[in-house]
Amino acid sequence: MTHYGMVIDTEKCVGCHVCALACKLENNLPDDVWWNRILTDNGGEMDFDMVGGTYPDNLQFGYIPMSCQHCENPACVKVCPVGATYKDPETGVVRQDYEKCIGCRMCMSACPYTGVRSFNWEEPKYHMDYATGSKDVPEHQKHTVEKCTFCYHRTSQGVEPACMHLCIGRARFWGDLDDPNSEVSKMVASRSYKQLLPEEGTKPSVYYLV
Amino acid sequence: MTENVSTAGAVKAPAAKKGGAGLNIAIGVSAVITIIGLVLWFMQISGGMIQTAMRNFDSWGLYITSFMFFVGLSAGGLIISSVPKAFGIKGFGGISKVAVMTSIACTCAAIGLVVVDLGQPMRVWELFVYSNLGSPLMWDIIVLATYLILSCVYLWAQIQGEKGKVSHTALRVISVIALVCAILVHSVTAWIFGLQQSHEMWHTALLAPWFVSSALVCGTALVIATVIGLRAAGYLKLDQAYLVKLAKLLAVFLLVDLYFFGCDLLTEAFPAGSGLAVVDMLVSGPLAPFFWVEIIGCAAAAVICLVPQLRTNPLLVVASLLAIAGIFCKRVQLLVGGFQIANIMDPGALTQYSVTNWEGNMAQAYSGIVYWPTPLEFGVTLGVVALGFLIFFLGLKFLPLKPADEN
Amino acid sequence: MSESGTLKPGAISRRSFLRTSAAVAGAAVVGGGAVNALAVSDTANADADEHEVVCVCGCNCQGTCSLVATVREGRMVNIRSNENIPYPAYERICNRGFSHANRLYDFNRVLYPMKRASWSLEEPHVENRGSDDWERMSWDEAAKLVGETLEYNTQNFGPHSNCILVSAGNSFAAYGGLTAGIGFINAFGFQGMDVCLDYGDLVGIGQVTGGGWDFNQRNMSGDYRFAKTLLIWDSNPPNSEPHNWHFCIEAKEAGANLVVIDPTYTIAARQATKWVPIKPGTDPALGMAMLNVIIENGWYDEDFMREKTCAPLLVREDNGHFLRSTDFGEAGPIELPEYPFYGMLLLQGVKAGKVPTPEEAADYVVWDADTNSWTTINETTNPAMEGTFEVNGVKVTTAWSLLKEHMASCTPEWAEEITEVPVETIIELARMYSQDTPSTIYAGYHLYDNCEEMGMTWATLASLTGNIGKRGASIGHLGKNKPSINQAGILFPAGLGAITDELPWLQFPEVLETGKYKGEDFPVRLLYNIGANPVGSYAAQRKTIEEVLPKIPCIITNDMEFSETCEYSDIVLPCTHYFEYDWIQASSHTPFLYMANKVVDPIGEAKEDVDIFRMIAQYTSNEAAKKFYSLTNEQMMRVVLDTEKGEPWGISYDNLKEKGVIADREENWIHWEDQRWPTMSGRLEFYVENPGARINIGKPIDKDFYHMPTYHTPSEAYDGSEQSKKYPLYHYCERTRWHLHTQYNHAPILRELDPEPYLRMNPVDAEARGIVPGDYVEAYNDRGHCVCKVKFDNAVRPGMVASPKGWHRGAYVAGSYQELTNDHLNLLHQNSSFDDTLVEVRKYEGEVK
Repeated sequence: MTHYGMVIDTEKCVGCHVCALACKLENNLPDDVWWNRILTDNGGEMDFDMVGGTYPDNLQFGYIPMSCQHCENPACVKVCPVGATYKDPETGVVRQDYEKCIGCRMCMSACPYTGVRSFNWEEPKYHMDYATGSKDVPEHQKHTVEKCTFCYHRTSQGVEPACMHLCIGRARFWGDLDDPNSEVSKMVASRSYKQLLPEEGTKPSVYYLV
Repeated sequence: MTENVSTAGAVKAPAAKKGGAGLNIAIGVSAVITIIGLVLWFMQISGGMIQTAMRNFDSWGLYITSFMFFVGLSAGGLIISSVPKAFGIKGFGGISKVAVMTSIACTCAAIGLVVVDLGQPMRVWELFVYSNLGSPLMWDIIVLATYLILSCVYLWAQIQGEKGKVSHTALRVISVIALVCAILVHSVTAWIFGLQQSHEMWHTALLAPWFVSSALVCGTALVIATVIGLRAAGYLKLDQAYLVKLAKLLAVFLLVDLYFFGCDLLTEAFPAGSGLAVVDMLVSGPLAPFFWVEIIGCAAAAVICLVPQLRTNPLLVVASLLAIAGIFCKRVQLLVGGFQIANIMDPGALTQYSVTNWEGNMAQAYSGIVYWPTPLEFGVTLGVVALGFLIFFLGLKFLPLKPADEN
Repeated sequence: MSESGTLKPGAISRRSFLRTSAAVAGAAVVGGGAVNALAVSDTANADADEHEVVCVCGCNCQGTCSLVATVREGRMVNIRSNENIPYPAYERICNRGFSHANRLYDFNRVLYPMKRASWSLEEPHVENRGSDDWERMSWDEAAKLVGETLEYNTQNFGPHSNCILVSAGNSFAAYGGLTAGIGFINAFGFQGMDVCLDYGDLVGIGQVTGGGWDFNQRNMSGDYRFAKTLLIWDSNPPNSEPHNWHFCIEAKEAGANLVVIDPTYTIAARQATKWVPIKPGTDPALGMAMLNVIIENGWYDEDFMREKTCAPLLVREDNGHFLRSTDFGEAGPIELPEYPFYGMLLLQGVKAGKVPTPEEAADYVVWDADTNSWTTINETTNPAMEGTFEVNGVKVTTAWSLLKEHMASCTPEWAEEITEVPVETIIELARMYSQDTPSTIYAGYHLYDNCEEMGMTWATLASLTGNIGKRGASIGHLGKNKPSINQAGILFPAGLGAITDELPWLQFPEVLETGKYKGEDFPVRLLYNIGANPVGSYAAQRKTIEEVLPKIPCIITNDMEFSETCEYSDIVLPCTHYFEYDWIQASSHTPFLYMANKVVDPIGEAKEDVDIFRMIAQYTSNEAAKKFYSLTNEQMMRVVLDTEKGEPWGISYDNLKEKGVIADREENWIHWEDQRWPTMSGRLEFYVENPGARINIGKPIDKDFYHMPTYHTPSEAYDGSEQSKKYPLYHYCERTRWHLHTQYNHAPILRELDPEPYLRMNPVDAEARGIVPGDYVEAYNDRGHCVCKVKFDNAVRPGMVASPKGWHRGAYVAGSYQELTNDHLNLLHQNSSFDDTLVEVRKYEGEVK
């Protein structure tokens, strides 16, 4: 069994957004839709890039790139009434079938990771009049829910997800968490890490090294 | 939404006063509003749900709020009508059919509200083909459908029973099943929310019984208001003693509901952890108006129902409306409150799809109430509510709901 | 923000949403640099309608990213970093790189040659600039109009009446973009303009190292990994040069001190082992106090100083020059050339290449400590390091003694007053830099008027501690010099003899006002901007628009985007994007040369600069220039690449075309590894015997002041300045990841994340002015104003405000951040001190569209 997972070193992430843009371009995401977003870890301030605390001795700042956590125990999969969101048994990737989605948005409210899932609130719009990215990505549909696919169209061809092609901070790692010899498994085994909202019991496949 | 309720009252009043002609007018008005709602719904589908105020961070809104509310309303009628039968108590036989009719109308409205909330209503058929029986939404769909069918059967059985074609025992069996189903429908609706660990406010075991108690409150209140209205219009006769019974019942339900609320608030707040934020938000935060309308409205309604001197017909109507408004406020608190406290407040990329008030920053988006419906949503909701009324009025017109002069 | 509403931040934000589920104790070992879990040899896109092209980003951050673009049906659809490069550690791409498809197609691109409707050579109607209609022209019409205008001006006012401002907007290249512009100037003998950007501390460092104001100073960025102390000074590399940062982090993980000196708490500061918040503009004082501490504690490297620096050289008391044995000859003391010799950036590399041998620098007199008598430098192994002596009646003192004396007053206590950096921190920094070696100073641009002192101080720190020319030890900036190719072949087709000093932009207003330059009549008839956006990028924007440009009867601009400068031009010519033509990328930020292959056909009628100049040349009478432009583009590229110097690395046009990327030096190349410098003595001259202006503009400087690092305040951004009474806030322009100078302003994919300009303020300053989050604010001073949204940020030092650099004027509600910036002309460095700016801020009550 393969269990794709992701390790992100928050000590190295500089918030450059290369992974976010790689995702946006590769998946031909509609305007204003971002599957991979870079959050600012600043103690609760709510502006991007904004530093929390007080100058100069008590400042809090860092970045947390966040996309679908591809949970082992996904809250979204359970609640979807038609099985449009489902867990791929081969890879552990939580997938989304646009053709099936009835747009009820149960999965959006069930997912604890606010904003990971996005709904196309209108006919998808694009800055350019042609599709960018891979020709293998399914077409985006109005009034359906979508999210990070872990670049299923790439991983199924043996290619890493677009966000993993190059992290300029050398902070992103990806591989098979079930393989104890994979780079990600070793990192998880040797480094301290955090996971997002572990108390929700979703068992995310994304590990944030601290 | 309180205005919808009062609109409803206004529509109903002339219907009552002018008898048959009034009813026809009411049917016409309801039909027109329903059609307007349908047109707006098509606008929503074609132009996109971007026209609603719902966004990724607050992905449900007025439709689901109203859905919860109407499921609750639907309960009352059925329970009022079935409890005495089920337990063999001499009860409100006279109003039993009308009460069930309100249930049917409310259930239809509730189903309609889910449908207008769907992004892909043309794919509804998938629910039956690809059913994921693990999904609470799927449970609710099944239970609601069963409930609707049972309500119809129950109504039919009563009508037939009056004609002597259905035995009292059979009626009693049906009423027991209906009662179980009514309780189930509220529990399951509660579980749509309560089984989601992602929203702290929703994730409580109390939610299901609390939904039942809230349903009893607004159901009973709706029956009281309807009965007083219909009696004033001369549609039916009912002894004041029954109304007093109903009022006392309402008071009990109100107190239970408030008790549940108290339990929940205390449990949230006491550890002074993140749950305190929920209490803060309700008591003094953006949802405070809804909180206090509920608390004061329900308390006042309970007082009216309990103090014999206050139990006049106009005041009972006021108490009923207060209770209904209070429960509606509760639904708003629950739904919007669930989104008002996001697990992760940071949008990363704040775009027009992130949150209702996205044009400033997140602090501004959440400084007031995070979600407020657009006129389109009010319109579509009104349309669905009108559909409920239309069904009710059609029932009044075409079904023998007038109490038979038995008892 | 707590003041923004009824909710307390604690109530809604889940402060601790990252909760440790299982903090596995373990060694903090990182699994090397391998990022990709799967090999990506090929993405298996072999379809006939889809192919990949290796190309290069040409924007002037100097990251020179080698990229792979995917083209489908003739349009660019995707991009990624090129993984097939000689040294994988240099694989790179940035967020801006992902917006190239956006930039290529239609967003604010100039599509056709255009002319302002009411402009003509005879009646230019400059008053209509910015409001006139545009008329489309054919390329022939445009080339004829431009060629004949240049010709007319040349015939009637001389070639220098045509001022050509070349910058890197159309790509910084070894062939293409900027080099095409420089070649155009030289081919016709026009007046080149100096941009006055980012040269401030370069000139300070260059006076000490002898490298002139060349950017080419630091070791290759891979070498930072070997530093034990890295001072990131005045820079936020994760934003401005993101590709260098992982090298710095590698050093940190290997145990180095990674220190960030910055008033603002940046992500670099966050990831550093130490952040030193400092009062803005005072950094030279910190460096000088570090010198003082190093001297007081004997933390200097005396052997290095003796052998590699001017420390033992004797300085004449009478004229301040080094004593040379030839001083006693017939001719007497020699006439010293002024540093840095050439008034043009791209010649600094020529200067930097001229390193004298010990034999060529044998005349310097030292005091032999063994014999206690004077001798020449190569004749003794034990020159006296300290002391005052008399040699043939000339009173002299060693440079080291002079420096020690000079720095004695720069105590940490003195610096604490100025910089607000605690004494202990200053001492600790000095200790780290001198003792935890090798040390590297990763310099940013100190954009204050005392920048030249900053540069001199850095270079002096390196001179005393030997932190230069070694593995893990270097100072300053990275730059553009590539010795393995022949750039001069196309930069200077008319030969070096035809070169004249460039005219600094900051001196331009006076020249236009008086009609004179260096005492001579100097009519300016034309300004030709080539990949340059002086309106958007240069200080004091309102003055540029209202006073400078109206005095010029003809303004021509080659650009790919319709910049602010295009708006104020008379003729606008569309240029190709970096992905629309074949060109050569080379910069010393990476150890590579690149063939930048054409990815897609140019949009509209865009042409590459060389082709534009070739057409223009046809309409002039300059036969030599026409001959130069008779070379094909490929021939020009061969001039650059097919050289003997490149042979050891296999550099040739054909080879580069085939390989795409070729290394031209070691992965962790060390600059000045042989420990000789291009000063006259071949040593690091921390005592500058003949300081000079960066470019000779005919105005004398106070030479005595500039021999050694001497603190002076910024021009206006200091407490107690005249302006500080009215404008108490220090305003600086920060490099964000969303812009590169004024490029990428219109890429919508970036604007989704960075939709509008803002003014960053510490909440303390905002609240004191009654400003709340979400407000629009007006920042203003005597030079201008800007109105934009406020952004509260605790990273900003109280008393400072920050504007993101690069935004187009039109993005502001009113004015522009660039109206605020200081255009003060410093006679020595002649650099634009953008951050040397004071403002006041108030809540904006007007309407916001």
